[in-house]
Amino acid sequence: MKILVVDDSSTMRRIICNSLKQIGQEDTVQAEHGADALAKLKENPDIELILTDWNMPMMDGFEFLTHVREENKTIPVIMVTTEAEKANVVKAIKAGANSYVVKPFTPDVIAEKLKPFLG
Amino acid sequence: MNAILASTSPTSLNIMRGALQQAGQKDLNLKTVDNIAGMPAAIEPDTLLMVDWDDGKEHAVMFIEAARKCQNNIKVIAIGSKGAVDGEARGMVAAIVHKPVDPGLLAKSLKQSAQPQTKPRPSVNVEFINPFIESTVNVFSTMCGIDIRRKKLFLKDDHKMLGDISGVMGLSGSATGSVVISLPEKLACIVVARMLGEEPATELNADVADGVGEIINMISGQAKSAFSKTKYQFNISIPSVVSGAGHEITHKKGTPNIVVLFEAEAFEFAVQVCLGAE
Repeated sequence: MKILVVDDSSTMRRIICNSLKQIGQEDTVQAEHGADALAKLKENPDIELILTDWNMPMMDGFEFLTHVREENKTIPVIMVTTEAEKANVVKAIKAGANSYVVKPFTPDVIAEKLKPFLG
Repeated sequence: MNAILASTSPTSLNIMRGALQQAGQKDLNLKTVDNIAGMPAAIEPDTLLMVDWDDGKEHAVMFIEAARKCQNNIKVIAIGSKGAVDGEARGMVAAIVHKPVDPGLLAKSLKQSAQPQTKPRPSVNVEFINPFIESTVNVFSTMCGIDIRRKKLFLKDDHKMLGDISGVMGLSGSATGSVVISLPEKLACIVVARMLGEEPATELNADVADGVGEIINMISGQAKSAFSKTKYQFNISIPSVVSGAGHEITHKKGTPNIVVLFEAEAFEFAVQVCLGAE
């Protein structure tokens, strides 16, 4: 499964990709912010799952999510963010996020959250 | 004259009492305090707090903060052996008097401290610090597998950072200011390597800087979430990173700058919180 990992921190992208490797998901595409992620989605129509941060420069994860849902209602989107307040979780789910991972996290949390989408 | 003498040492309390009497203070209304819980709930505005710095800075600062919670403009004189008191207490107290106490010098200091302070020290809101301490411990444990130990907490006036690399996050909302993590080079390399499951870099580089930025992002984000369950609400910005030995980061003027010193992997690092209510 090709997975898009969106975060402005290269360290966090690598941490997420390492966590994905541990569950056998090595086919990843990385993007630095929402606008970059939209471009990567166009270049890679075979992307089947998105993991995205919320607070990013240029275009944040919430705006990115909104754009994704305008084009694609079904691709699973998991928010991976420090925005842990209930109001923000509800806001993201209402806007179309399928799941939510709060930073800091351990690799098994990523594995657990991805499980329903890996078939 | 109303005075509170604060020290955990009975000997120091006696020295301070004797020194005040020898300094010619008449009609002394003295109260001695050997722990923070003993600090009076109400303090008259013209009261002098004499604090023993040889107890250690942490104790002295706690006595001062406890007194200022009741009376923000209380005059404070630090008594201590030459050395630590000179660097540490400067800027926090109205006067410093060395042991053995010279009654003449003490009388002069008392006269000086009786002058109105031009800049009353801002009060410290301890509610602002605990969520950052808890989130720092959690981020290091969860992301790096490193158990850290809180060493001490103190106020800092200057802008020079304690480490070689610092991650900075701006906060706005119920209060505005910043939170900074400042790490020595080697510890920064170790921490980022542990997050990535790799060997540590030998020196600071772009990857280490990015990792330090992500650490302050997570510390701030988790603290922000903890605050959301209280009366305080914050927004965070995008983190930035500054490095170089002796680098400086300016903080909000007139706002207490609280430094929490931690120990990790035999190194010390600091988390600095400077938040002032709007």
